[in-house]
Amino acid sequence: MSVIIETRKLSKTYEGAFGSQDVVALKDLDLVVHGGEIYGYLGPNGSGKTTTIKLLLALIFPTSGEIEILGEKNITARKVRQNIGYLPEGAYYPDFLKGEEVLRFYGRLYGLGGKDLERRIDAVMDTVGMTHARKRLLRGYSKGMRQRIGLAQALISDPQILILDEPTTGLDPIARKEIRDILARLRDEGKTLLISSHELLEVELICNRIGILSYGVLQTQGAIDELLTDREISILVAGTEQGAAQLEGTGITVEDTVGDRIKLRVPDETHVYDALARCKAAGLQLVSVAPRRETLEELFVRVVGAAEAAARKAAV
Amino acid sequence: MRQRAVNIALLFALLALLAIGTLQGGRLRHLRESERFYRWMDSVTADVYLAGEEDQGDIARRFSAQALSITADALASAAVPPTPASVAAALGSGAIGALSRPTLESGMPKDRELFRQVVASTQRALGGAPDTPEGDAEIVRLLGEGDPDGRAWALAKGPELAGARGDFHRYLRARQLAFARDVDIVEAQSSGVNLFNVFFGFRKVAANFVWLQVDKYWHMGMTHRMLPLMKTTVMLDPKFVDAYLVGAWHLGYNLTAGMGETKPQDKEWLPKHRALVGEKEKFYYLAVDYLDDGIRNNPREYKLYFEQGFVHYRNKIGDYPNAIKYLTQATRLPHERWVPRQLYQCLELNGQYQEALRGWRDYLRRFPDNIVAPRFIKRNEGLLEEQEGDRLLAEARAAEDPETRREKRQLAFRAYDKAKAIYREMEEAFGVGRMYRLEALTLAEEGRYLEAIALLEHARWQSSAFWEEASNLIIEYKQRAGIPLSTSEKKAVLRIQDEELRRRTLEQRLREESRE
Amino acid sequence: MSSVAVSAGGLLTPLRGPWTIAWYTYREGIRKKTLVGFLILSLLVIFGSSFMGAFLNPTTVGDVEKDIDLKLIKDICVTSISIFGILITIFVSASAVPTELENRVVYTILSKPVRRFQYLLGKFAGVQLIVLVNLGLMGALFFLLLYFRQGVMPTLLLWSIFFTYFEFLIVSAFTFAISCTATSAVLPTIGGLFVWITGSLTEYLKDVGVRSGWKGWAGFEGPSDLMEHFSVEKLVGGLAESLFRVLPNLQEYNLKMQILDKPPNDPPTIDLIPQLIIYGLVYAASGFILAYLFYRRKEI
Repeated sequence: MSVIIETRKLSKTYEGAFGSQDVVALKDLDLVVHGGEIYGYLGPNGSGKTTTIKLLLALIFPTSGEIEILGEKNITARKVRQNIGYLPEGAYYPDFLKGEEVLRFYGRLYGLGGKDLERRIDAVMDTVGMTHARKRLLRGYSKGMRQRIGLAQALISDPQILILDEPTTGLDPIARKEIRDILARLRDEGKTLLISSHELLEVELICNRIGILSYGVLQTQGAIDELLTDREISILVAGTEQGAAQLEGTGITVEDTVGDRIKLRVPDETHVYDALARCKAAGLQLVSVAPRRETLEELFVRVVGAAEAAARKAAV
Repeated sequence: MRQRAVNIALLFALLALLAIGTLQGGRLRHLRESERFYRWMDSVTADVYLAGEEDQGDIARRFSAQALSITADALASAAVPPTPASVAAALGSGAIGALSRPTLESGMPKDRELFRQVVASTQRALGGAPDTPEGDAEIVRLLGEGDPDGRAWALAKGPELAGARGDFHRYLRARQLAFARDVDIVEAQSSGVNLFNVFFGFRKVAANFVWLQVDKYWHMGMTHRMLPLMKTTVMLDPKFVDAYLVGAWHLGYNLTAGMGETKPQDKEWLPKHRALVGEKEKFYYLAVDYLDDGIRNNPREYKLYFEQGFVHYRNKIGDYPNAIKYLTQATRLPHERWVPRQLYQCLELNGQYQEALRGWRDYLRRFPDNIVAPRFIKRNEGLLEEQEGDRLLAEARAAEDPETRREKRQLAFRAYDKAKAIYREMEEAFGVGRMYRLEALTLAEEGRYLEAIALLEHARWQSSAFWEEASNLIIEYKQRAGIPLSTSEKKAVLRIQDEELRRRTLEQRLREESRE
Repeated sequence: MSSVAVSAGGLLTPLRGPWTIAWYTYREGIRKKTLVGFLILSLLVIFGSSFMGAFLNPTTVGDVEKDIDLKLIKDICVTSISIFGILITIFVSASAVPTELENRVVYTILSKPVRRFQYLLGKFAGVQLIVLVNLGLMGALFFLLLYFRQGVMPTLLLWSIFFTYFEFLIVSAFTFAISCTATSAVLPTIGGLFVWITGSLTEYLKDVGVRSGWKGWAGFEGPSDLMEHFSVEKLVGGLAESLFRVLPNLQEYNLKMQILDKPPNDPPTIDLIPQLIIYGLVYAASGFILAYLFYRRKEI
């Protein structure tokens, strides 16, 4: 697997105006995006996601560190630009134009023209499923359709890399699913996608790798399967609350009680038999035992929470 | 590093462009300053043509034209000692300088001085004699014809006139130039922020609205309010040619239409125009001043010269020498084809038949289909013969030797015969009138005054153009023959006497003033 | 034949992006409500000017009345064209770049293989296109008005309008430069008005220079002279005089009125027109370079 995007010690500091404090937006970022994967770039608001993306697109310029895209350090080179499609968050598209006119405009910026351009427009319209609306004015488009046109303009030059900033924010569930499907299809076509998002559920559904950013620092980065290990065991029993109360102080956590069903959790496999024994002793009936996988949300909260605590400590 | 290098390169490019802009700005400034200088020269040139070269003969002609068409003989026999000619002679002797029309306002004497410098410099540059009189100078000729090939402009911006140009701007700054009153020029030199500069066009629009108000007042009959607003209009927009034309026309015609004649003893002396003026005439001269202002600001607009010459000087004031000057200037500039016709008529009215004839012939050559030109040619040919006859007859009277006297008389009558032949050919009222005059003249020469008078009494009803002349001749012959004058004739004589008396006293006063 | 087409395409490729952007800017800009408002207002004034003559009572002398009527139309129209034109120019130049920053269109454009120089060039060209079209519309109406009144082709008028554009060009370029530093159109609009007023009042700076006793750079004898006869007035005067020389002087474009007044073959006017066009182009170029200098490393 080839490295498509790589940053080394990438830092960005916004200088404070009139002597106010400088803002460190990004610190020593070492981002690695491989070819053919969907990279989920996560982080709370203001953590530096958009800053990173703008740096990658040379809309802003790094304070230090370097960026390499497709093995090229000059990221404004035509070769690089030709291979990046970008969908900004909440961008406006001229609503006095028809769908295909918008694409024609963006296509021309890539230097496309004539029949090539028309062919590409047909192709991307098909990809994003907008062929039926291509001759309509953008004014009459729904939000989801606009987002799909946004995606289409990012795809117009058939780029290797797609950088998507919050692609599903503000869309209804059906539109979201549609976008998600398109993204998955693009990945299958061999494109590399960098998606910034805080829709964790979606990221979990389609991303191969993630990076979590907090306070301008990349807290963790890796394949999603590696980061979310099956670490806990969930035991479901039936019984009374009194019985459950007896389990206190044994390393077994009561997670939830619904009617007579009690959901228990044990840290890892080594304690399973011990825990089952205790349950039996307490008169609880076993219903099921299952390994439990940590959700991305849990990981996110854990990682970001730790970073926050560290930052607070540093501030004190 | 690379970024900084690019920034520095761009900064240099910016500075280089600003430097070019500065240089270009300097070039523009030079052109603008030269332009102001050029416009001023234009203005002064118009003045050189119009007011600057009045010689004594010119004044004599003007006075004779103003002397209510009475011949010197009539005045002499009416026992009024000073004839117009003698007044003119008196004026010629010394007082002339003080009397020449004061076109330059007091305290602003630099225009002529500077212009002489310009003339000398241009003559030198053009390889002519540097001490040429202004009127003959090449630059005056070029500007007077509207500078069609831009040679005067080349001089105005060139190095030859650098000195004069510098002086011009120095004087302008000190406001010592009377002929640079154009708002543009003054404002360019004025101090302080003038927000009108930003909304430059507003001033012109404002002028239009003020003019609408003038028009309104005229229709409301509030004529006393018009004059200040008319002045405001042209102050706001000195290029408003139509305002000058219509304004002057209001002054000369509309406002004076209801006014009666002022009695001669009540007339005032107007030193600026050297004229005796009544209530009406004051307005005529206000119109003249208003148009003169327009001419200074728009020296290349023939309409202004034409209006001044024809409408005001010829029709209203009857000052033919001035009318000729303005009309001549109008014909120098691009003009309509009726302009020269008025000029030739004025020449005729001023007794310059030779010039008129030359003009009409030239006109016919240019416009062979013109129907009036042949008639005027005839007319002037006749008048020329008649003039020759008059001259010979006067010589005959003055001659001591009876032989010469007889010979001259014979020649005179031969000229009259030629004139009569031409008039007969013309077959129109004018010619008829002139023939009657010649008949009467012949009769009077033979001492048959009663017959001559009877003929003239009849004749003046035949040709309107002849009325005044015939009436004057009747007075002359009655006086010569000792026939008592009618009441109205007596009145006419008295009027002339009054006028002359008044003129004499005023001349006296003026001479005293000039001595102070 | 195909090789020619290819080579021509190759040469023009760097301009394809700017042209696309210019066309897009034009199409978007022409729809702005404020702009349309200004345009309609100016067209109304131009059209309305033809009825001004109704205030003239028809009893005045025939031909002259018609002439005054024409003069009214000319003066009102040239004035309104220059004032509405400059307002449209300032407004469009000030908003072209910041608007795209506000609605994030700029991100989609600059992430494509488009250089910032090309982007600015396209934007600036688009602005000029809008200004020219507006000027053209106003001029066309004015032209028709005069043509039907006068019955002759008002060629001078075309010159005058063409000429006015170069005044707009200078104001436009510097407003554009200001807008490249801003994130919204408000500040550059005010800045543009300031540029226009300052440019129209530079003569005042000369006056400051003269009054201070500064003798001009010609009389300057080096730093030692300055040290010996130093005075604050002189310093200010020298500064004012230098600024006067460097800043564009929009007053020079008053010639637009003169063109309408003077007869067609006025030698100074003929001489001045090309010089003023060069003047406009030079300052427009410096304004554009300034804009690029501001924008090339701007963090957006």
